[in-house]
This record gives sequence, structure tokens and C-alpha cells, in this order.
Amino acid sequence: MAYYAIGIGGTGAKCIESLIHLCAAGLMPEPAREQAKELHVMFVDPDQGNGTLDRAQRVLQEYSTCRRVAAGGIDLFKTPVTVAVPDVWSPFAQETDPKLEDFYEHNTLESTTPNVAHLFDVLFSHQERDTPLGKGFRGHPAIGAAVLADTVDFGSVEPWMTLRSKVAQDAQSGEQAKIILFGSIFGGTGASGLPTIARLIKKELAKSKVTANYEISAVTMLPYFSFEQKNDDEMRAQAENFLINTQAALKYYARPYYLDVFDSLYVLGDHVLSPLGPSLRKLRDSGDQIDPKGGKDQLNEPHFLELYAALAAIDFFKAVSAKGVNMIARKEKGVHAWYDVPPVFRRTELLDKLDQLTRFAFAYDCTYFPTLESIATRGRPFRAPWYLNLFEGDDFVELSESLKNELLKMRDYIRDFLAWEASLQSTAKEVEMQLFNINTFAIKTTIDAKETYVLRNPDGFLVEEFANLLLPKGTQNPFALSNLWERMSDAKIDDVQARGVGRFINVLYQQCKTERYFESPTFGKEDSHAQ
Amino acid sequence: MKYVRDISSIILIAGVMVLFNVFVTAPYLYDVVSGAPSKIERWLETYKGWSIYLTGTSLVSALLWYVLSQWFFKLNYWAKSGKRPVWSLLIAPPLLVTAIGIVLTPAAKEGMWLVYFFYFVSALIPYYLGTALFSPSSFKYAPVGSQLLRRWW
Amino acid sequence: MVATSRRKMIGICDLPTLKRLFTFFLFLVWGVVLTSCSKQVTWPPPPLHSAEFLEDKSIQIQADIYYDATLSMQGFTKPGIATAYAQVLNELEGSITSGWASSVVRFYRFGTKIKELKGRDHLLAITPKFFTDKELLQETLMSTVIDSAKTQHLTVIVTDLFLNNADVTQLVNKLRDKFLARGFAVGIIGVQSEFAGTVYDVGINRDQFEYAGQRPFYVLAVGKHRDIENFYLTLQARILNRLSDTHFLLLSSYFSSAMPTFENGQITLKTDIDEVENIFPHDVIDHRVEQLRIKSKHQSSQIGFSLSRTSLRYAMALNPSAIETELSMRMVGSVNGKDSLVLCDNAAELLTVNGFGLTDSSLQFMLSFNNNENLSEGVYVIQQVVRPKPHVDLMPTWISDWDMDITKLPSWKADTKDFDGQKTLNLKKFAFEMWQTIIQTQSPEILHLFYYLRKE
Repeated sequence: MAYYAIGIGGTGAKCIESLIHLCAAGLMPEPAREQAKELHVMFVDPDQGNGTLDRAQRVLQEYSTCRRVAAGGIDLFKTPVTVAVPDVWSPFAQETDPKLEDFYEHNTLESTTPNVAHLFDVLFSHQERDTPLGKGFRGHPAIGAAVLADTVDFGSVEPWMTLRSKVAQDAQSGEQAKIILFGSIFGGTGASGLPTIARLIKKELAKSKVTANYEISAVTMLPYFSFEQKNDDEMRAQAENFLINTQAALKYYARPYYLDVFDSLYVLGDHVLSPLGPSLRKLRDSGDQIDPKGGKDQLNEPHFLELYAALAAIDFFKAVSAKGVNMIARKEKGVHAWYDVPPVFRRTELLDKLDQLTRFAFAYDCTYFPTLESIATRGRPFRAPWYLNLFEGDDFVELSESLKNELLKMRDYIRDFLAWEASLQSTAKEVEMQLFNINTFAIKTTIDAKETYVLRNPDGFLVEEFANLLLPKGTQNPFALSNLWERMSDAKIDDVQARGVGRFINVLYQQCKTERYFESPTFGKEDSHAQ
Repeated sequence: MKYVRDISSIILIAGVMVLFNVFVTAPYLYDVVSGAPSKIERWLETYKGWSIYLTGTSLVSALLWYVLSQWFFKLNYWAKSGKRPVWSLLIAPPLLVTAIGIVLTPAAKEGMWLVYFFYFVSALIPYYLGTALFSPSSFKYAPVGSQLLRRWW
Repeated sequence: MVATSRRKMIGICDLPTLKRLFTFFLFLVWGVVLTSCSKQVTWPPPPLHSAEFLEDKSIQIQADIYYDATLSMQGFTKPGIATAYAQVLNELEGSITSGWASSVVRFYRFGTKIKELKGRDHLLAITPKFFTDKELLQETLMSTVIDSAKTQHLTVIVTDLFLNNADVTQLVNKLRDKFLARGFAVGIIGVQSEFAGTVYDVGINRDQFEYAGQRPFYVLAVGKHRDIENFYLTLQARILNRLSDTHFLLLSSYFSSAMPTFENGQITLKTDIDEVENIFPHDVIDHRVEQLRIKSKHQSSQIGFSLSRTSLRYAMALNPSAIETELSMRMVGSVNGKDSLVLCDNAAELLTVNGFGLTDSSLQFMLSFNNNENLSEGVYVIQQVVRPKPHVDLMPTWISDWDMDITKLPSWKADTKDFDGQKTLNLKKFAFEMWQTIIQTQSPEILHLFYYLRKE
């Protein structure tokens, strides 16, 4: 069985990003690395300059590089993730400045089939026909549906060809293929892409005589964010139209004809629309104002609901023909905590793994990477016994080279991971989030009159809080990071699959494991799920 | 328990050093040293006494190093790792007591260089082996040469 | 999977700890070979001999006081009862009774024969009529006194000790046979007293001279050294201190209150030789013995000592030129499977003692080991005995001063006023022969020490 994830539009890309982070934490269904099934990822977005897409692509690339480190049988990066080629498919791949009327060759229609041309004029306003679509469908799903239906070609266009053949191969070999699509229901690309692409996939597989051993699911995101509106004449997504669009879309999905496409459907939303600010990553570059029409300016911060979307995907991957309608809700209106998270896993497993990866990232960024840099430049390796044991032992590692390659990529990934967590904690400003103790590695700042969080410099991390990186805080142990160093100094590795830098990664990841949630007196007893 | 084991081992090393001085080096020096200002046996009692003081000082330094590195030096900040200068500084008390011992030990006409050598051995070996073999994990390679000793096993 | 540490629990230690401790113990292995395993030879201290101990004064005393009742003594009584003679005689009994807790005193007078003085008759000894017993007047036969004296008693003889050569010899022989040979001592208290009378038996022709003036008489005491000393000290305190010219000489084999040993001694010099303590068996202490060690590589060795001594008052005054040292060396060897001492013939070329110094409170000397290469490895027992040389005059000056120069007899005959009545005939001869006799019979020792030497 293989997993397929298609992110449609900017929201789809953010969901994919969250899913990748959960893959990094080892939360995909298979218990062990050698049993891990491949996750095949692709993006559908006419707006290839989408900043959110950039971020997802970057995280994917970092993930792939980090996974190539032979870190043994640990859960970290255990899932092999393959990216479609090309990783982003746009219906306007060949077009530089596509417009709908150009796409349908309106001028030709007027001369050859004027009736069709007139129908076209009725269905689409002049603005809709004339607006460049290079940055997406501008919150007009009708445009998107029309374009996508005409451009998705499983026969001659990549990555659709490969998708079809891989799914068909899985299905025909008896392996069950699971395909999940992510997209928003209120925007342009996602709203148009989700049902359209799903239907096209199903039709194509039927043509290939593949009717069993595969499932299609979708995570549709209801409105959960808003942004500052620019008042001009340009066609753009309108935040105030999100709910109306959502209502219309849900009516569409409610019809059996359209719902039957999916084997399961996840619908996620929040009653509070979080105003989005500039993403953490962007802040390292410049302070551009968000422009909701898309492009590089569409750098929407990660939102906790995307974590839910990723959990939904894992639930789909894990579930064996799930039936019925399940609903989730928050226990308290203005608060969001871990007990509100749906029980995709045993509760402790999700938190254990996230905590472990968070500790790993924290320790790596503030302690271990700087130590390795110091050793590479100033020597004196005796300062770090774990370095001597793991880097200069039987499997000698050329440190300065590793610092330019694997170790650097790992640091890039874990900083993106920490930034993602900081965003999850801070984005939903109308809700008191109790997920991550981000003050330990991020600091609140104001950019363009908007409050946001930036990652601290590694030497500014609040190291005394290392034991409490997830909320709620547990037992205080201000020397937990020091204790980690001590355990690292003693740690030996007998995982023969771990080699080179992977030995260090393996050991550090293992030593970051915690089981504190077993000890938590309150956690595990709260069950906010209503049937 | 780990620290109980380590501290016990450090004390054991010092104890063995004392026994070594009393039962091995003292009889050896009996044959080597000549021209002592008093009877050889009494002179050797002085030697034994000083060697015990030196080993005791060495033990105190080794235990102090252990206590500091196990319970006081915290490595929440990686830049505070290493502590080799502290380890080096803690050699000073045994060396100082060695110097005092050398000065206060009545000189014999022959064999005194060997006596001084054993003084240094009494002062340095318990400290060195106690710290090189049994330093707490975070600082186990702070003692010079401990990388070879501890990684060898 | 990662293990925090490899743990194989063995009791309370895990394998890494045991390995680390093993590393340490490897360091010890090389040290074990440093020590040799050979068994060291030991030898016990030498036996004690009684001559080393000066017996304390008797707890109770029986004293026999003999008064010379011949006419030569009458002159001491004629000046009256205030003379030194009278005063001394009056204190003799008291010196005995007060000098001991328990005492019995008997008095005798002698001349040709001995008669006991009963009751208070001895009080008449200071009067001229004491010397009118014709049975005693003729000769002063001190030899009879010696014959009748009891060795367990303190014998006190009051006489002018005016002896001719034959008398000296006879008396000395008598004293030798009965007392000196048994280790007893002789004390000579000399007192100058007023005299007015006749001095008889001067010279071989037994001339006599009328003399008035100071003339010495003597209180001889024969017995144990400490008894004689105590008698003298008591007499001195009671009367002699008030008299102008008195002297005392104690002839015995003792020179110091205890034989000097290495206890409280000091090493004044040490060259290529070591003091050790392991030649004796374990925990044995004997301050007479100095344990030493010499190594093969040293050609010669020297060690100098300064030992404490407390010289006895009134004993013979010693000087370094009047003493001689006897050294003997024996090697501990195995004879018929048993350890025993074998005499070394070459001791004289291997050992010398020199640099001898002697004062009332200390004694210094240096022991030299020459030609150590001729000394084979092993344990040696060396005995050092220091004795006064025979035939050396160690008499105090008063003996010479009080000794009569008989060569002046013709001048005295020519003019009797020149007669030197303050002197005693053959006093020096008597004292010297007494001393020689003590040397011959008692072999007095100034020092008796041992050295146990281990040659490696």
C-alpha cells in the first residue's frame, strides 16, 4: 500500500507541510522504518509563485535530505516521501500570463461557435474571463473547475501519468492505495480542484479497469482564517465571501453524485477566523505586506487546523474502511489544548512523538549543532564526549563536511519545524492555544504593526524549560538539557543501520524521548469528543 | 547508584595506592635509600606518612572534581562544557602538598630522587586515574588522556 | 536500539567499571616486582651481664667499725676532743644509722689483734687512754681486720694507713682475695687532723718522729659501691663539710651510674652507613645495640656517636688516653643447620674505633668500617668494650699530694723539724695497687656496646 497526498492550492500546500512534519515525527501508521510505506506527494496550484507552496516545497526537500542520513531504525523521518515530477502541477504550465478567455480560445469560439461563445459569456463575467490566472483562480472555483477539467491529462501529462500508473500498480498488486486530497472549500484552487481532481482520478482508474484496492479521501478546509482586504478593482479572493462560498460548496458536496467520489471526507473549520500575519520564515527576508491575491506574498502562517488536516490524513491512512459520520469539537470555547485533538493515535503517542521531535529540534539547534560548529573551528573535542564516541569512533565522520551538508540541512529542517510549531501556537489569536511552550524558542515581536513570533537565536533559547516544550507544563526540571548531555555522553549505539552522522542523529533522537504524559495527572482523562 | 559506584571506585583507587606505598614502595625504598638522618625504618615511617597525606590530598581533589562535575557544573549551555582548566587546577593541591612533603622529608644521602618520584606518583596517580576513569559522563574526557583510557574499554 | 550504557550487572559493579578498575590494577603489577622476597636474617640481642648494673645501696646495713688502736694513732687524740679526728669518729656511728633505714653497728679496735668494743666503749676512741691496751699496741695488723671482716657487712677501718711496702702488698692481697675478687669496692676517706705525738715506722728502719701539726688519718670503707658512697655522703653531710681538708676516693669497677647505651645518644656523623631496626626480631628493643646497614657499593663507612653518661662522683677520673677499646666481630652463620656466631679473624683490619672523647656527661667516639669489599654479605655482631688501661695512673692529685716522699727521710733525720707529718707513707702505692687489683680482678668497663651490622 502506498499513500498519495495531493495538496491543492495554498491551503493544500500548508496541509501537506503539516503532514510532512508529522512524517518527520514518525507518526505515519507503520510501526517500524523498514515497514514504512511510501508517501507520494504532489501539489496542484496554478500560482507557482505561491509563497506557501515555496515553504512546503522547501520542507519537503529538507525532509528528503534528512531522510537520506542513515540514522538507523528510529521513527525520525521513517516514512519515505517521494515527490512527483514535477512536484507542482499547474494547468497553466506553458502559459506565461493565462486568462480564461485565452484558455477557452474565446476569440476562436466567437468566430467558429458563437453560441458556445455566448454561453461562455453568460457563465463568466468579463472580469472573470480577462483576469490573469497566473496567481490562482482568485477565489472563483467555477473558473478553476473549468480549467482543471480540461487540463488534467492522465495520459500524457506528468505528474498525472505517474500517479495513475503507481496507483494502478498498487491496486493491481493487491496493495491498497490511499489517495488524499487537501484543499480549502472557500477559496479558488482548492474549492475547484478537490471535487474535480478526485472525480478525474476515479474516472481514469475506472478506464484502467482499476475499481478496487484504492480509496480516495479529501480534507476540505472550511474558513478558518481571514486577511486584510485591499480595496481595488482587481479580482481577488474576498474574505467576507468565504462563508457564503462555503455554504454553496457544502451544498454541492452534499449531493450523492459528488460525495460518492470520496470514500471518506474530512471537513475542518473553526468558528473564529484567525487573521493571518507574515510567516516566520518570511521575516528573516523582508517585511513585505501580505497581498491576498497570492504570489510570493501569500505567505500564510501555519494554523493549527492544518495539523488537524494532517491528522485527518493519517487517520485515513490508518483506518480500514471507516464508516459513519464522526464529529469533533473543542471542549472549551476559547481554549484549545491537546485534549481537543481527535484520537487518531493513542493520545500519548502523538504527544510523545511531537515532544520527542520538539526536544530533538530544540536541543539540536541550541546545543548540539553549535557544539559541532565549535569543535570544527576551535577543536577541543573532549568538551563533548558524545562527539568523540559518535563522530570519531569506529565510523569516523568528517565533521566540517557534514556541517556543510547533512547537519546543516537537519538544522534548516528543525528550524522550520520549530517555526511551524510557533505558528500553530500563535496563529489563532482569538483562542488561547495550549499546545506548545513556544516562548522557549520563539519571541513575540511586531512587524508591520502585526504581532508575530520569531525564532530566537539558538543561544537565546530558554534552556531551563527544555523539559516543558509542550503544554501544559509538567514537573519542572531546569536541568533537563544538562541531563540530556549527560545521557548523550554515555550513550552507545548498537543499531547497525545507523552510520556516519546518522549515529549521532539516532542517539540524540532516542535520548530526547520522554514519557511524561504518562505521568500527567490531568491528561488522558479529558475527552472532549462528542459523538 | 552510578555516582555511588564512581565515588567508591575513586576511594578504592586511593586505598590501593596507600597499600601500594606501604607494602610495595616502602620495602623497595628500604633497599634503595641510604644515608637517612635517622633509622631507616623510622625514616620510612615519615615517607609512608607523607605518601598517605599526598594520596589523601589527591583523593580529596578527585572527589571534589567529581562533586563539582556531577552536581555543580550544569550543561544547559554548551559553552560551559569541557572544564579542563578546572580539572587542571585541582591538580594543584596534591602538587603543593608534594612540594611541602619534599621540603619536610629529611633528606637521605641516596635514593631521594626515587622518593620524590614516588611522592609524585602518590599525589598524581589517584587523582589522575580517579578522574580519568571515573569522571561523570558529561566531563569524562576532560582529564587529559582519558579519551584513550575510557574509550579503550 | 540505543543503550544508555552497556550494563552487565555483576554484584554491585558493572562490566565497564570492572574494566576500568582492572586498568588501574595493571599499574600495580609492575610495582610488585620491585620488592624482593628474600627472607631477612635476624639475630636476638646479646644476653645481659651483671657487671652492667650498679647495685643500689643496701636497704639495711650491718657496719663493722674498726678503730686502729696502735700508738701511732694516739697523737690524734692528744690535742683534745675538738680535733677533726675526734669529730669524725663521733659521727661514724651516726652516719651509719642515719644513712640507712635499718642498721646495726659494731665497733672494734685493732692492733696486733682485734677486740670488740662493747657498749659505749667506742666513745673512748677519741681519748688518749684508748691507746693503752698493750695487747694491741705493737703492730697495726690490718690484714687481721680484713680476715675478720664480713663481706655482707660494710667494713669501716679508721687508721693512719701508714704502711711499709710489705704491708701494702699484704693488705692489697687480702682485700683482693676477700673483697675485690667478689666485685666489692674500697673507699678511702682522707682527713687532715690535728696531731701531736709520735709518728712511728717511718721508712724501712722504722724511724719515728715527734710531730705536732696536721696529719692525715683515713677512714677506709670496704663493701658495695653504693653503700660506701652513701656512707661517705652521710659522713660528709654530718661532719666532713665542716672540716677544712678532707678527700675521698672510691675505688670500684663502676664509672657511671649506668653503662652508657644508645638510648638518648646522638649520631654525630654518618657516612655511607644506615641505622636500621630490622636485625632484631620484631618488636625487640635493646639500647645496648645499634643496628646498622652497609651497602656493597660503599668502600668504607663511618658512624660517630655521642652517648650520655652520668659519671659517678668520687669514682676514678678517666681520660681518653687512659682507656683502651676492644673490638670483636662475629658473623651470623649456619653451623649444623643452626644459626650461630662465627668469629671473624680480620676484625682488626675491618673495624676501628677512634675519636674517643670523654666527659662527666658524655662519651664520643667514631666507628669506622674499612675495606667494606672484604666484608661479605650477611649479618655481623660486633662487640665494643672500653676499659681503663692498666698501669695508668688515674689517682686524684690529693693521693700524690698526701703521699710521703720517703726519699726525704735523711733530711728529716737531720732535722726532725722538717719531718712532713702531713703525708702518709706509701699512700699512693697502696691506692695505685688497689686500683690495679680492681682492674685485674673485676675488669671494669667504661663502655660495653654492640653493633649488629647487615652487609648488603
